Amino acid sequence: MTPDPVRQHLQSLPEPPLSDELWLRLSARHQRRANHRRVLRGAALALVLGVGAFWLAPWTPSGESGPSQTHPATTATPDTSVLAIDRALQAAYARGASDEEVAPLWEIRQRMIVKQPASSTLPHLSATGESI
Amino acid sequence: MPAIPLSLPSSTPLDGDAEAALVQRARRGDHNAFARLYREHARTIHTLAWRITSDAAVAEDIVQETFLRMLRFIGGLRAGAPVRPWLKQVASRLAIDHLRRQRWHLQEVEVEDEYHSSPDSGPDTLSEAVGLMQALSPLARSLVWLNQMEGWSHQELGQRFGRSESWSKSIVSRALRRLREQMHDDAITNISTPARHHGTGTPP
Repeated sequence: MTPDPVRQHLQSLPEPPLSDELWLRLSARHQRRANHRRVLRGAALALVLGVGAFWLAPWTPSGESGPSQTHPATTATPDTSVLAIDRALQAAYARGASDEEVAPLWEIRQRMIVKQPASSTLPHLSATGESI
Repeated sequence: MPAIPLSLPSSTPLDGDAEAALVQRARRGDHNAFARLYREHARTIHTLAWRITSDAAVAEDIVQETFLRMLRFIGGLRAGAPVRPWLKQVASRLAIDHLRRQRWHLQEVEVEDEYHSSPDSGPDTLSEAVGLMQALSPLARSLVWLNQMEGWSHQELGQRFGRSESWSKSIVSRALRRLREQMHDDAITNISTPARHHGTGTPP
């Protein structure tokens, strides 16, 4: 069977030149998109943990002197919301999360510690999220 | 950021699974995976977009949009299925949509002695890359290329262009007849004057 000469002609046409600038443009878009995704993931994680911490926080009526204030420091238990954040941090480090992702968690933890009563016993975390 | 040396051949051809893994990595932000996919397919997609639109700048925009859509939407691709057909389909649709927005492209003057040069393509580039199709209108070129080289049926073409199947059949049929006549005329001319040179090149 003889090949169609028109198709042969179309197949033989040279490719138009492709500029290198196109890759630079596309590459920049891809990296912007990747950064955006990272930030969104971190923010979403922080939001989930923030809401979780709120619900897990022990409820204490205002004006009522809670028993924790009278307990000696050695018997005080750490705030469960901080422990939740610590667990999230440890899990994030375990899966190799980037600094950008864990930064919001550290920030939330720091804020919680500042609000904690001085008597609470809080675990100390190393830079890799392990309890010391 | 270093440019990708497109002139270099890919190290090894990609099979479907390897390509699917690359797409997943690229979607998660792996820049090397994305670069590899671009190197593998960009030329083909650019050529296709250029053949349909006859416009270098628009073809580049289509390549960019096609690769970005790949990152957003290709998650549902069947495991092991090659990426290129998906990319070509997306690029073709984008190119056709572009033509539909350029209403002058769709006027019914397509085959008869129309020569529309693209604003962004120099005459040399255009004439070299379209060959004998230079004698056709951009619309006829697009339809001929999609039908003859990309395997689109007349029904698909009619639907995508918002016209009928017979509309596509008619334009492609007339365009092919014209191309064959021109090839025949060129062959006769070459026989009678074998030393003739085409194009604008200087004589030897």
